[in-house]
Amino acid sequence: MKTSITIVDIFPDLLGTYGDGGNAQILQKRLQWRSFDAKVLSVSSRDKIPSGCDIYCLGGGEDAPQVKANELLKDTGVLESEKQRGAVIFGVCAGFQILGKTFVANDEVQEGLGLLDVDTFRSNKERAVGEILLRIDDISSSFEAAIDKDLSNRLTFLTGYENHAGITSIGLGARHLGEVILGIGNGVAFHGKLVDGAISKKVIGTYLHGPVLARNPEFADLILELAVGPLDSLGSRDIEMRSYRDERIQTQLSAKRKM
Amino acid sequence: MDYPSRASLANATGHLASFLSKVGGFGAGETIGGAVALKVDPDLLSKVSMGRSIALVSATNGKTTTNRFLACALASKYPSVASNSGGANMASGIAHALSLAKGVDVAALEVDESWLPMMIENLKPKCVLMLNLTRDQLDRSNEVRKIAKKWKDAVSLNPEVTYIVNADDPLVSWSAIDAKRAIYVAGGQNWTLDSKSCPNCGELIENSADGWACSGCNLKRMKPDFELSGVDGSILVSREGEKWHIETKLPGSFNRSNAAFGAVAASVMGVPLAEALRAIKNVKSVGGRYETVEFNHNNFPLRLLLAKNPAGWLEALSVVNKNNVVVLAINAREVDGRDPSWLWDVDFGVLKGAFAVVTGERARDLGVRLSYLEIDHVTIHKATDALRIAQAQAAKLNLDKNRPIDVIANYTAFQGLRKIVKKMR
Ligand SMILES: [Zn+2]
Repeated sequence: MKTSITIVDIFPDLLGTYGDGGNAQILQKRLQWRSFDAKVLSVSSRDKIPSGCDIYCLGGGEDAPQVKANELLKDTGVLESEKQRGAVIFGVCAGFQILGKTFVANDEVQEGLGLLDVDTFRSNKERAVGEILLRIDDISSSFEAAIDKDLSNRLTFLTGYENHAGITSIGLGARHLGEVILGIGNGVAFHGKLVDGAISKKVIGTYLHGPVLARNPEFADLILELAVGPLDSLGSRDIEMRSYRDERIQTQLSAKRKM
Repeated sequence: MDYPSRASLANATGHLASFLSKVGGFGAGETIGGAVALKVDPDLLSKVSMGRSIALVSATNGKTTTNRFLACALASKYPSVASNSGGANMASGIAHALSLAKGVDVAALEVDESWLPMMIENLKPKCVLMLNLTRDQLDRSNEVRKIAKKWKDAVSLNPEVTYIVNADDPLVSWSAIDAKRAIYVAGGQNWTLDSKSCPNCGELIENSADGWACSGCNLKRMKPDFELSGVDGSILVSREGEKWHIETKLPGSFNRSNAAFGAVAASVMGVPLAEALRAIKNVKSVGGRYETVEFNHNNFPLRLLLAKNPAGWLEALSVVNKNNVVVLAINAREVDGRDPSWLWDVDFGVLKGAFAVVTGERARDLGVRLSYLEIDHVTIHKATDALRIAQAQAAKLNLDKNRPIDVIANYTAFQGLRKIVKKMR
């Protein structure tokens, strides 16, 4: 098993609006706590994104920075070749939209990277802002890579916060991440269900920001397993993280019951 | 000053509502009084501002403190100054502050960022202070650039006002670009994450020895009319080379910057700079911020710091005593912003070596944040227990009993803490 892992935090200067840089730090710590040699490369928009790394993370951003980030990424083509090579690519909010085929920013349709078969339109309703809760059904079948069955079973909910004006429709080449229990998510039905996010090979996108991996330790481990294979439990290291996850899920379920 | 009769009626009704609110125990009465008055007469704002010399202070951070500095400086010359010192900074609070102060010709008013355009339009101020714009409560205001754009539109519609602008903040500088009269103060801006790309063209903003400049258009830092210099930023230097010493009882370089803005604004309002700075020296605390308070008689005192958003926490963390016990309190109610994701934008890594007691309704969000940084902490939801545990921990560590424990809290957490502590003389 590979023990030296590099996580790239892509353009924190452009795509870092909702603390999403935290996702890379969380992945790194969870590896270090398991004695991996893990490092995070924060690559600013002035620098070249290195190829050959293990996990690439993209966060949320406002319209203008999102357009700029997309242009820079298209110019280098690095993420396209990294997807082919089998690297894990994880995009949140604006980063999720960039991974798709098209999105709308600065009132124009922008051509994205096309790593996920999704298209994002501008919602004509109010911005989707608030708590979001997803139900996850056996996620292991979504990936070509082997995912620990036990981990997949434990990942039953994803809890987070969303803040976006996009509606994202999923094409034939991708599947959703989870079913929306509370909140808006992609904002459009997929196979008759309201869903959030998209998955294709080892590319994952979601509207859950915040950073989503802080609230969902199993989701963090799932992303890590896609990169390094099966992992041991963190045991007592994870007690606080699990209490946090449970507290958020309980709050969201009780909000849902009151609706 | 005489108001037309409808405005007087509106005023009287407002005072009554304010009185009832105070008697009924619903807070300071500033906001509700003004809200009722505005219902009766929507033109009240322009009426109550007539014939007055008004300064408006707006920013994401530092507006209450700067407004207090400014009001103090103005009071050194004018017998009476109207001010919304309680911090009610939207239309209703401002209407109330002005209608209360009959016959007072000078006003210093803090204004919520999103209300500033409307206030410039209706109050016709003499000067407007534009200190900084950074991310804050993104669940409500979503994009800080949209506020910068609203400011820009307001400035181009009211170019004759004197704008006092932070030259170091690209968003604020851009919004003031159409001003005919602008005074640029290099007030510093440690938080740069919201202005990495140009608000005008979207290209990257580069930093050099001459300050920031856009790589795609000609937006760049203006040559400042006033600059803070000296090792700790305590010397104010004018473009002509004249110098003043800035002294304040409030901690941190950001408060020296707030003092500089307050003094420059006071000079626009007719108070000589040196006099303004002398008056500013006397401000000890602002609405409970920076106050040292007592909790548990004869125990470690507490110093209360308010921080509402990432830029504010960056400032607060820069002044805390790091080899100590600190208390950090986080809520996520409506006025705090419902989404505490921003905790991940704050570099809590500077607390390495400290022991943190984390409290508030969203204590767990912060606790997990600190865990991933491997910072020693306990999470205690109830504030009174958290304060007790912090004091006990400080005693256990044999810390100096005269040095206060720093307590940083966001808005409603701060209000809650103020209710359970006692002010020390
Ligand atoms: Zn530009």
